[in-house]
Amino acid sequence: MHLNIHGLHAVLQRWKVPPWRTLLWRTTLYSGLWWVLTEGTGSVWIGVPLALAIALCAPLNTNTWSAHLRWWKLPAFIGFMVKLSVSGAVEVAKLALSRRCDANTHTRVYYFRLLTCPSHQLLMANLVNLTPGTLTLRISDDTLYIHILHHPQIAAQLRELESRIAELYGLKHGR
Amino acid sequence: MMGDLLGIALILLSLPFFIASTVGLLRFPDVYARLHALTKADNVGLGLICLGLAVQADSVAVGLKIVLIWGLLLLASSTGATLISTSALRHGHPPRQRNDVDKHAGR
Repeated sequence: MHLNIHGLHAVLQRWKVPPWRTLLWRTTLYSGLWWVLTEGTGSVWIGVPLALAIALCAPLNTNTWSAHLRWWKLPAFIGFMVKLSVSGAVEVAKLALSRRCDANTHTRVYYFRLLTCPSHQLLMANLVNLTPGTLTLRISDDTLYIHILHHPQIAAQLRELESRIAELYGLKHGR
Repeated sequence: MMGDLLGIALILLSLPFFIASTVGLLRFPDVYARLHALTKADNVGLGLICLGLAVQADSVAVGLKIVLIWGLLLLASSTGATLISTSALRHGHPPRQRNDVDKHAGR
């Protein structure tokens, strides 16, 4: 209990009011989420103060959202991921339903070239699971261990995915 | 009316993906290959069902809620797949390699 109080005190000491623009964005987004989750019937007088409280509390000790995220590139990125996801699903479906299910599985290692921040690497590790023929087995030390299911052009596909994520975060050498 | 028809079409379109995913789960040779089926085909099937329900929803908020559910499930499924594969590796199940012979393939 003693430790918990100390921990709480340390967290509160690190807390600072986020920049007003960030606060406004987050409050708007969380209010929108409230509206969606309550299917448009929730009270504004509960939703907006809650959204404001969460927006104030969220950046207590971690920078959960990168300041460099380029929001305007998000729709194109989502479109790119949906395209990859559908083609991955079609490929797996074809293989599963083929007469001779000879999955040519193997593993390979992928070294990050552009993404150095752990949260960006984790995002890529998750998205690799949705792209055709690839599955993240493990992530460690700037390296992804990937399982490949019957797919020839993995290296180019992974490089493109990494470039797209780098571009989304405005990192150097992004596409 | 058009929304209902489109919704039904999208939901019907999701069925082949779910069937293929289940068949893949049964036929693929190891846990890692099976996770491919679950993370890819299932997610697209679920996405089509969510879209089909969203276009039939009574209000925009309900439609967006269904799409949000899909997004959260994508995140959960993708993270879960990596956690399962990391755990399987740690417990000594090496992935099949190119030259390994699988006597039961294509059953």
